[in-house]
Amino acid sequence: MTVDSTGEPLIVEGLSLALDIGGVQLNALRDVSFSLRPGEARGLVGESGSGKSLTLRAILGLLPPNARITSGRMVVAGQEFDLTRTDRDHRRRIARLRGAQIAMIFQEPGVALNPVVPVGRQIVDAVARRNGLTKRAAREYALHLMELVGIHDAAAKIDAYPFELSGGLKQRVMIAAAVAGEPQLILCDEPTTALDVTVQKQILSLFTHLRDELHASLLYVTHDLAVVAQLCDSVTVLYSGEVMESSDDLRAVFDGAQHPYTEALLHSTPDVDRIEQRLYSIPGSAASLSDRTDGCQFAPRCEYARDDCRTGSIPDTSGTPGRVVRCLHKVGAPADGVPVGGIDG
Amino acid sequence: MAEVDEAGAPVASSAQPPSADAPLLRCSDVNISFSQRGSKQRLHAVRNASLEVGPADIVGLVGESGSGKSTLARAIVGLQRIDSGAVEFEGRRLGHTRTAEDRRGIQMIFQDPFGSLDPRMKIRSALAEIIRRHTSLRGKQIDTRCAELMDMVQLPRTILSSRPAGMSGGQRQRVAIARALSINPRLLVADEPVAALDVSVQAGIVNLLSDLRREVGLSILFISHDLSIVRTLCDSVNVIYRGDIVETRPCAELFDDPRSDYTRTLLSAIPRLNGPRTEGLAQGQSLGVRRR
Repeated sequence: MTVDSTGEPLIVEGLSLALDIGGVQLNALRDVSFSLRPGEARGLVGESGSGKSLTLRAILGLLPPNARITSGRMVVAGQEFDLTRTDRDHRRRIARLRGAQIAMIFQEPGVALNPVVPVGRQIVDAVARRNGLTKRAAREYALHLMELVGIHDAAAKIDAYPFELSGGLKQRVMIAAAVAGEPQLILCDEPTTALDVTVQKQILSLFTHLRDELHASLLYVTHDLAVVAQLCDSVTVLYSGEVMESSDDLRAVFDGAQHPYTEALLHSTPDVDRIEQRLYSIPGSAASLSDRTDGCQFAPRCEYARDDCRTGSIPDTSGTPGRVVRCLHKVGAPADGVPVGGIDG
Repeated sequence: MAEVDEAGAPVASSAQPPSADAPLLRCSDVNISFSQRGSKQRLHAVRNASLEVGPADIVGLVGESGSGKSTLARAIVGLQRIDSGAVEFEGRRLGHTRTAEDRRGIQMIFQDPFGSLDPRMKIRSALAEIIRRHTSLRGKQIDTRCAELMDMVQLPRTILSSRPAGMSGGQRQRVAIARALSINPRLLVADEPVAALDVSVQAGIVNLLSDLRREVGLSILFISHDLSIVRTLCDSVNVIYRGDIVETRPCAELFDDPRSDYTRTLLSAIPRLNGPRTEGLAQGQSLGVRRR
């Protein structure tokens, strides 16, 4: 594989997507943009219904049949894709990325693995076929990868079926399969959510190690802000299908959130290091797809919201390169609502 | 308030002196095992577990998957037989078969608010069914009680006329709590009640549980794998590892000065918003993936 050091491994620009639900087109994603530098880990954060998993599926070309991309382009390793295309040629080009350029790790390793194929074969099948490895070479490579991801007695586990392994081991198998093709970009969809914290800690170390070693970029989807804080360099916060806040520097957001939603989300996240009598709870709940309106999607739950938040589309008011804040009345801004740029501390 | 065991090491002593301030719930030396297919050996899910919950106490039971925390919880509410040991409630030893009176005292809520409500039933009927069975309230009194319960769990009364399908996860969990509270239990066993909820919603449920303790003096056994929430909500914590309760301590002490190795491991594994970044594996060994 040639490592393209000039281009960014992933650029997603202006991604909008509609879901057809009972014949009605509902906007599930609106104008989502972000990019990844080589070796960067970006957290894509949001609660259920925020569109974080749909975004991953759009990148992989694995959308459900009722989804339609209405706008958006993507660049992966120098190749450009118009995401609105649905023709066969386009689908083939995207399919060729999967496994080679882009690997994916899912939340439920138990569901993603084939229950009737030994794990060792699942790890290398795709790569062995593509590179014409002999049976012996493929097995050796599988063993090597299993050791790499911290499976101690790999030789004993290589012929095991997924049901014989614990959740943590299965997730390691998934990760081994993902890195087998030496991808430049690894997409992770809540890979540690189903695991215990002690296992999660090991898996997070493994991701850091793989990133340092392979210089692969990581797009890490999760609802867990603390995990993002531990693993990622940059962060994009989604709410109801829109980017609320984004920064190339994670700490800028975690230490000085400017969007009221980000602030509220950080505030409501329980933190072992912070003893509180009461947790902060965001009033109301996220609007369902059919109830989404013009303006800022968070406005109905936002304590800073005013009339101008409820119309049109909300521009980026950050004024800082590498930072996006889609809010007219940012945290810390003067009450008259004149946006001020670059106040992050 | 119940005194917690003086910490450290597996809690084993069953000979606790009877105190005037008796705990509401006391489990002593509970053992639970399961038969395993294809093996004569039994799987010991819970071993000599002892724990106490005092009146208006919120006690945490923390452990990872497979630690036996849910099995112990199920034994407390009478959904699981125990091999030996005792479950005492209000000084009375509870048998395997629970009377209606026993069941009124201890109620349970579960992790999945989507699975614990009948999708065909309106919320009012779901509540009325239990109120009618366990109390002497009838007719209009039931309606009044339902409205009262909605206020208690901080839901609009209009929810009573809706079905679970139209409700969010947080609302359903509140309804599940309302249903558990409908017959005035003294102890609520909450098995991972916020694990399936979004953070912005889980905060509301955690606060609600805390309010209920303050306002109606409800005792809660709060089962969770999430130590951050336990620290916010609970007075004391029991840490369970592979069926053994390895540490029982007041919350503040446990977090500042964990005594068992397992608790220390658990605490150090929690991801932190302001903690140091995760480091890679030890040594600079090369992955050597590239082999084309």
